[in-house]
Amino acid sequence: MRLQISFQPSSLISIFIVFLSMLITACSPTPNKNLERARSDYQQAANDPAVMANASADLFAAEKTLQRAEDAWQEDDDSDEVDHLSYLASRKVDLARATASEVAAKKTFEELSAQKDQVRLQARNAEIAKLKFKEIMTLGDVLFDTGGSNLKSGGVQQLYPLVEYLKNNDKTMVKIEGHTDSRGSSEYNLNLSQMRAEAVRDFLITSGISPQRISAQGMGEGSPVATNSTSAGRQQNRRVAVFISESPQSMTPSSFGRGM
Amino acid sequence: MFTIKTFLRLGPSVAMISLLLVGCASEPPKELLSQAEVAIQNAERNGAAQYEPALLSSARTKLDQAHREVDDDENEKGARLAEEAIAEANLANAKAKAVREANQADEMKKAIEALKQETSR
Repeated sequence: MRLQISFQPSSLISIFIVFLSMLITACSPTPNKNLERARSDYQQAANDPAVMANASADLFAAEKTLQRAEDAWQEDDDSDEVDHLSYLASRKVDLARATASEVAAKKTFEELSAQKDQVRLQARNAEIAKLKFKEIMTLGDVLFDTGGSNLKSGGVQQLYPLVEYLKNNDKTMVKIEGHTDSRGSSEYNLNLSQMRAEAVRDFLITSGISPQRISAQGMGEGSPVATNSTSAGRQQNRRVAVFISESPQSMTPSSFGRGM
Repeated sequence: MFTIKTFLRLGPSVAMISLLLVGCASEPPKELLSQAEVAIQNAERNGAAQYEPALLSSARTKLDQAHREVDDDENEKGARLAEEAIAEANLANAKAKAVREANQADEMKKAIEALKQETSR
């Protein structure tokens, strides 16, 4: 009796596959805990939109180090090297997270400081609104060129007493209102009166008066002091009015009467 | 133009260079040691001693250890420790900066609240 062993081709293939997979199993390194942690650290950070948005460069650096760790593990380098690279990768992921939170905090800070400026402005306006103002001078349109908002040198001279007064009374607030006559569109006039009021304000600031003490507003053509139907009336309406806050210790000096 | 062909031609020399680099690993990692020193000083300047003392001192310890390994001709160990010191110092630096930014934002928030209260009085 002859023992006959015959292999079907299909069973040959399966034996080959089993053999191959045994080889592969033998070759693949045992899992490394540090590498696994680095992978999951990286994956979590990469899935965090804030990190992606604010620290993509750091995240990329972490990814490269993680890849080095993967390569070292694949090539079956000694576990010290895999541990080392995995540790580096994890720290770089942490760095990306820290950078992301730094950037986010910086943004918050910037938003808040804009908000603070706004609150401060509102506070100052509320403060000014509480004060009682009296008009101390009206500057005629000789201050400016027709239709322009550049102070003429003759106009500047009219402002010197005001500067002196404000320097001597450093608690006083000053309010500047620009007015026009009714020729031209009301929008044009509003804009022109604003620019003229601001020109006076800017002159006071360059003369050393704190911007905190000054408010400047264009009133347009809506507050005439005379008729707009005669040229003399219109000239009176083109003006910059200056008000100062009334307070006991800041009396208007006699040298500083109604201007013009 | 950089093509696959040039890459293939360059391949062997790249391999040579990397072999050389591996060979260099037995040289003292002076560059890494000084980089670690700079990274630690950077972190100190940004307040890491105050905000991230543990991480900063770990970086310092690893750098000291790295120096000792290099003195004992254990250059590869020294290089690894120096690299870890750099990573830790950079992390301490970034964390300290993040905390400082967050503190500044908090202070700004308080300042706004104070300003608002002052106004409403």
